[in-house]
Amino acid sequence: MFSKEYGKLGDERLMELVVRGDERAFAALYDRYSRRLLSYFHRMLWNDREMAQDYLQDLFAKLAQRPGSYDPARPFQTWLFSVANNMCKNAYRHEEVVRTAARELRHGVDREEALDGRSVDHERFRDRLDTELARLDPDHKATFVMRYHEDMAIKEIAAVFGCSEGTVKSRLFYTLKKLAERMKEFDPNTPAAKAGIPHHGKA
Amino acid sequence: MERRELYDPEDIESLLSERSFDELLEEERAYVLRHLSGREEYEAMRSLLLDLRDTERDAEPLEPDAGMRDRVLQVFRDQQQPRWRVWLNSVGPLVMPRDLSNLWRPALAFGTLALLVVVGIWVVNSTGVQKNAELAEVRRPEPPSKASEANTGALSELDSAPSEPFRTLTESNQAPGLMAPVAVQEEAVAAEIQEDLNEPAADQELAAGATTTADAVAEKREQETTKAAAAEQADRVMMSEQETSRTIGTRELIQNQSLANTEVKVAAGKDRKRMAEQPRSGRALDQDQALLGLLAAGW
Repeated sequence: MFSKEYGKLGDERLMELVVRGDERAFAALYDRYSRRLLSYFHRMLWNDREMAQDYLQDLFAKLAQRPGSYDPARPFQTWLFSVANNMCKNAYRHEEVVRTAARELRHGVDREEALDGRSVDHERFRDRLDTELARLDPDHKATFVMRYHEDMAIKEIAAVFGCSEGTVKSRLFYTLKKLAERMKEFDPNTPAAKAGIPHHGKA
Repeated sequence: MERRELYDPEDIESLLSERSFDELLEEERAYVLRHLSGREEYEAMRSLLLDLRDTERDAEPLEPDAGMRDRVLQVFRDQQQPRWRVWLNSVGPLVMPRDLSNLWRPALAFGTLALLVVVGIWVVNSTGVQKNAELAEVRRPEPPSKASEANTGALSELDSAPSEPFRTLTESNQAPGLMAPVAVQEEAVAAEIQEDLNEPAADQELAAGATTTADAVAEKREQETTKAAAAEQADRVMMSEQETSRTIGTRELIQNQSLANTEVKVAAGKDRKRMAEQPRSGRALDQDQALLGLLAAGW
């Protein structure tokens, strides 16, 4: 194989080449997943960009140092996100205590600003959503992020967590239900919204 | 079939994405109401879902750091390097460290160790030079003919006293072969003993001297002389045997033929000189059967 079109190769084939020491295959995988993983880390790690960058680098460094740890029987994407999810869980164990206090303080301020504000934009919605996501169970949060931020299929998410698709669906439903209840101020049908807070995305 | 089996939470998600509560069909609405409290909750979830998608669509994608790609690729390259190169990379800073201020203790230790090694090597070499000097003297390559001539010359000086057996020994030593001196000396001693046994000259001289004195005194003297000569002869044989064994037994003698020949012949010359100073006692050997048996057994 003298000319390899790495962009057209599947993830699993690229990983085979990476295990054999093909640097261009490794670069292709990096180009393919670095942005998605950075976004995932950013969502999962309290919107901390620096932390997300560090975790992204750590993840690919691990992949570079131990490409043989990849299980060829599994789809590469689900394996990669399961590794990323485990890294996030470890981060939660270390920083959950500190973050919880800061988050509670920030949540109170956000709620007050939302109630007293005259406009709601995407940035505020994102901040609030992130705040509420941070209060969720890590598995529920990761499931929600994978589904609605990374656009992963139910089957893929189930493969990442090693659970059934029904479990994933149930997690998504109750997470969505809980977030909707906690973020009622963004619902145009609520009295606060009807009082003048503009809403976007209404069908 | 029960309608509950047709839907699950993911189906509610699809309903939320596509239709408002008022747009739901009767059976869809019935299913939604089994999981949600009512229209308000459905609309809140729908609003959240739509806002979420809009927000994600409008959000600027995050970009990894500019140097991250190069860093992780460098990690990959380092991992693909052979292990010995990695090992050498770690040896480099150890051999040539950037901060030398903290290395005076290891440097002192290594310097002391190096000094001890040098001194030890010098001591070993100085001792070894003396040994090697001796060995060099022993192993000096010389032609066999020169060595034989030298041995012959040395023996010729010692051959001032007339003695047939050792003349035979000197001639035999010129034959080549590592064990030749041993065989020659054994033969020489045996020939000497045999010659002493066969030679009647000493008896005739003693007999001539006995005519001037009384027979009894002569016989008594003869017996004493015979005993003394036999004892001295036995001592000489034993000494010769011991000296020969000691000289031949050394490895240096085997490895260096010329020196061995010299030593053997010098020793033999000394014995021969000593024997020349002693009175002949061939008759005594002839008469002492016990000594002859001992000599025969020994040889």
